[in-house]
Amino acid sequence: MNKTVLRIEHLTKTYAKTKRAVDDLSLDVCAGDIYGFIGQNGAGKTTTLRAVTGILPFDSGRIEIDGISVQDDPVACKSMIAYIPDNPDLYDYLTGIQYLNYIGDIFGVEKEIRRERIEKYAEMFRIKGDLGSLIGAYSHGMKQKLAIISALLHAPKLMILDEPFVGLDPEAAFKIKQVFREMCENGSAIFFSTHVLDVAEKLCNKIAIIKNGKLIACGDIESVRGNESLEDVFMEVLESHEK
Amino acid sequence: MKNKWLPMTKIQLMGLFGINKAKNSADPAIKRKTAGGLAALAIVGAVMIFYIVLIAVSFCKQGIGQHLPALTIALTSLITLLFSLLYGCSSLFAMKDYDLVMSMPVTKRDILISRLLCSYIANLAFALGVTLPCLVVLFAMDGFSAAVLAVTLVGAVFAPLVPMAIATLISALLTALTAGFKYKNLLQSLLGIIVFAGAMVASFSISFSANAEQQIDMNAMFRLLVMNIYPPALLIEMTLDGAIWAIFVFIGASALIAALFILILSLGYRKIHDALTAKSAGSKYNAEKIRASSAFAALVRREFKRLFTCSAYLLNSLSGTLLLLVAGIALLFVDVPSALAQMQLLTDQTARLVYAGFGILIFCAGMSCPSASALSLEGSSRGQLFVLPLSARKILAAKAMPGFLINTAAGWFTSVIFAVKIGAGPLGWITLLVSVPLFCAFSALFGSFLNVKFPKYDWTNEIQAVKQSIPVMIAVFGSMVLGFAVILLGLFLGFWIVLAADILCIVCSAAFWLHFKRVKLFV
Repeated sequence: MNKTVLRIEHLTKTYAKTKRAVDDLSLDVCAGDIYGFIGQNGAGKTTTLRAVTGILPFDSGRIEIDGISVQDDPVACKSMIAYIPDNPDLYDYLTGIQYLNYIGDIFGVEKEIRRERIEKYAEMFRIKGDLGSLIGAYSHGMKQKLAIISALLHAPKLMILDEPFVGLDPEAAFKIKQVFREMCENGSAIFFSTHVLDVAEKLCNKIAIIKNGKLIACGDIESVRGNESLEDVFMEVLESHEK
Repeated sequence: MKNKWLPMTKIQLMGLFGINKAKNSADPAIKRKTAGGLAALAIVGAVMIFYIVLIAVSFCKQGIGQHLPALTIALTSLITLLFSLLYGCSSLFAMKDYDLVMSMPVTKRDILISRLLCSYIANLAFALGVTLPCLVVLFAMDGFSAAVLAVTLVGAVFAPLVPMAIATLISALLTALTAGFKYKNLLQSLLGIIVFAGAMVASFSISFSANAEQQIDMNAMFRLLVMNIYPPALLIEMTLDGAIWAIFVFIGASALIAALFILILSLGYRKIHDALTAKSAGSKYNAEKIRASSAFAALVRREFKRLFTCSAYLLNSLSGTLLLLVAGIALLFVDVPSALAQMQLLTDQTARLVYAGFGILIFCAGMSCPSASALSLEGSSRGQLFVLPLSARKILAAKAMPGFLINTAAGWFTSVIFAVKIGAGPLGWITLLVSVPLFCAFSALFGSFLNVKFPKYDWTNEIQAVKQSIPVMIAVFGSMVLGFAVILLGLFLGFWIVLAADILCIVCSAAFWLHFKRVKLFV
């Protein structure tokens, strides 16, 4: 079995002391996993992802990135991950290349490696010609692509993405799936939320279904799905937990 | 509803100081934070009122209390003009909720009125905060007069309209003129600085030229002073002297100018907004643009970039620095020995001026506190910063750097001129040069500390974070109070007050630095 990159144990997060957004959630993401996290709106997906990245405090439980607790050493954990929110609100006053340089400096990516990766991914996502322009002039899809390139710049061990395919053109969506697979072959892991069950079914080797903050199904996609489509399983699982 | 600007104004006011958020939040921490921030503001306000009362009492004791109403209206109008120049017109254009607001069935006039009303209410609160304590003192010492009360209150209510209209129109013109340029933000900032500095120099030189008129009687001298500070305020003085028509002229002129201003601006509103939000194509990318530096340097560079690409942030955060530079340059043209001789100061009193001068530096540099809003400005994108592998201390130190570096440079510049001009001794020189960076470091770290305690991330326009947020108000008004105290105490205690201030700065800065180690930044 591959090494565990992300371990979530009994995570509980309550908003305003009343609304339990995540309730005793536990799961493991191993090196090489492409782990899909699915659920309805307000199920607790984004809250879980934000807690994992260390930007949202939680009430109880434990989150470890490569064996290090997010609560004990958040900086060490953050240096191993990359996070792309659902609506990357990048800095409008910087140009694309200034933003990438900024992220490269923060993560201490060497100049030559930085150059190589920027060239590679900017060409792949066809935004090389726009890197000199202000981010404020970018479309949503271009911002998404820039955020993905910045996330790939330091070759993270764990990539966390919230709805990564929203706003991407079909070619970019195809290429990002390729990049995910490449990363996982090299020992990284991907943990992402999505509403697009078709993408989860084709791309992920593991999935987790969350409802009202509780994990109601998780594991290898084959074992969760069985002989049915993921969509059918998803609807069945949701209905069975409503009773 | 006919007056659609009313609910729009209400929504904006609900966002001020986070009161609505605290009211409707079930989280006691949010309520505690808001209450703490408001309490701190109330303390600062109380100290300011204390100073105003002291000044008003001294006026009444000298038998010139009757000039207080016109003088306070003139001074608050001048301050409104200067602050409105800083405020610019960024609250009117390029707001984040522009699409939402413009898609609603409201007129551009409604939008403009609602945006301007918020500024007006803030200016009115300031005008009443100065005028009412003066009136209380005046009535307590010289006897109550219903006429004086009515005229002064009416004057205070209408006084902010004209300075606001003039300042916002100038800012809108600058914005419209520069909107098409590639580096429009930098250009707007530069022009804004020039206009602001020009207004300050002009108001200082005109206001204090009245000192030369020493032969005329007191009443005429005060009329001249009011006239020089803000000419329309003379109408208040005339009304109190018996010319009832003057107050109606004041009201009519203020309302007319404000209405005209809204009408003119509504004609070009969409055009200016579109020009401002259009982004230039930028330069072509090439591999040479890739360069590396340390994480801290990258953070500081981004802070400077943020400061210099948002004219509202730049002007509001560095107004005190500008004031300091203007004061330094103005000192070059003042014959200080003659001025001191005229004031008939004793030798030891002259020596103490250098220490009182440090109070002016606190007054100005403390007002310039970009770090008090730098964290708030991360707004909805703060997650992008907090997710980076950086300690909170590093982030907060980087946010404190621009204010520290800029204020230290400006402080040294003015201090050197000041020390040369008054002929400071070695102790005076050392005191000024050492105290400047110490205070600037304290001020910058204090700004970061306040911003961590009272962040305002839910802004729709930068101005709400850089001007109307609790940490900025505490930093600005707190430094005014502190500066004024050091000026007064410096004249009596000399070196010791500066030494005490230096020790306090070192202790507090060290405490903030240690505190930042425990800070955790969450969305």
